[in-house]
Amino acid sequence: MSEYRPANNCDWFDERLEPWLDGELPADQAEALERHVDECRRCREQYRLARRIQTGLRGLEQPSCPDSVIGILAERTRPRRRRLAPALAAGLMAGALGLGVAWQMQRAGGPDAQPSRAELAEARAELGVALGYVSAAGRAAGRDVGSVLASEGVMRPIRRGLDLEVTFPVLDRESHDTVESET
Amino acid sequence: MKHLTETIMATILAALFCGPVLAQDWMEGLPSKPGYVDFGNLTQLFGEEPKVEVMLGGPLVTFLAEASREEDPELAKMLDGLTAISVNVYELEEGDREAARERVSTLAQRLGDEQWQRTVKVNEGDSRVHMFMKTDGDQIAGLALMVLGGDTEAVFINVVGDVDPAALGKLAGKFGVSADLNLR
Repeated sequence: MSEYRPANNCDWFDERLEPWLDGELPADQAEALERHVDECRRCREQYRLARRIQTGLRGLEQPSCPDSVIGILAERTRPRRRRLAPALAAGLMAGALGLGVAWQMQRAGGPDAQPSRAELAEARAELGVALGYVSAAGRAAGRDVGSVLASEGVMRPIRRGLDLEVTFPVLDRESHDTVESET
Repeated sequence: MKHLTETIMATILAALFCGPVLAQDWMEGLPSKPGYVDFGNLTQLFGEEPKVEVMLGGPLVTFLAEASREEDPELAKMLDGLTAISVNVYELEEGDREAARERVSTLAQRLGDEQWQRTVKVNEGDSRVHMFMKTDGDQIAGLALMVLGGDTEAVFINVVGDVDPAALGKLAGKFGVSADLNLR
């Protein structure tokens, strides 16, 4: 039977977010969480943030310490181990710690650090929304963004490689009844 | 003395080769980019979470570019130059309008002071549109757009990276996502 508790959804969600993201929840609980995320804005934000963090971690490059470096460290350690012990040990520990944490991060991302097809689809959808608002902001200004930025004042850096025509002056439109002015 | 030098060298080598893998959180490095804009704590200003929030960047954009390269080279090219894109849309409540206008005005002033180039300014009724661009040499470093849509919405957009502005609107049409800002 599902543990979905409508009376206390958000606490219930908080407790299960991590195992859910790790794919460790039973299907019925995962479905209940999905329903809750659809309905609850606060938890939807939490979920998106957690996904973003998870995706970021998965995007980390394969950690590696070149063999030559390990060789140098081994060489330096062997003959003078006693005399260099405290400081070198600290250096080696720092390196080992770095590798260990990086390995843990990589491990968290699984053997394949690439985002899943679903994550790419989600990112593409988010990009679409973002571009939709960029376009809407341009329309609100009375121009499409490209045309506005093709104006004389910013033409030089943009036209490199774009071959745009200079057709619009810099837009600074204010209605007659607006008294506010900005420099 | 020699031993001390060797010890320091060993530590530096370990840090140089093994440390960078830990410092790849792209969001941490974002504020140092010339095209980045810190709009401040908007959620505190408006007293609620944004109704639309998009924050894309880092490895995901790289993967998206690669995934699109064959099917949509134009999108891939745009994404190649994109460092990050953030969109925050807030619903304006009755008491928010004056504060929102003030914040937008202050931000516009600050961007001007920071050598952002104003490309659009619209004041119509209660609506405000500010569009700025930052260049870094011959390259575009970022775009900043702030829109107050009458008494309904406040939109804050930051595009970080060398992105062809002409491609932005074109690609928006291709995605088929349209957003309406209720200006009046």
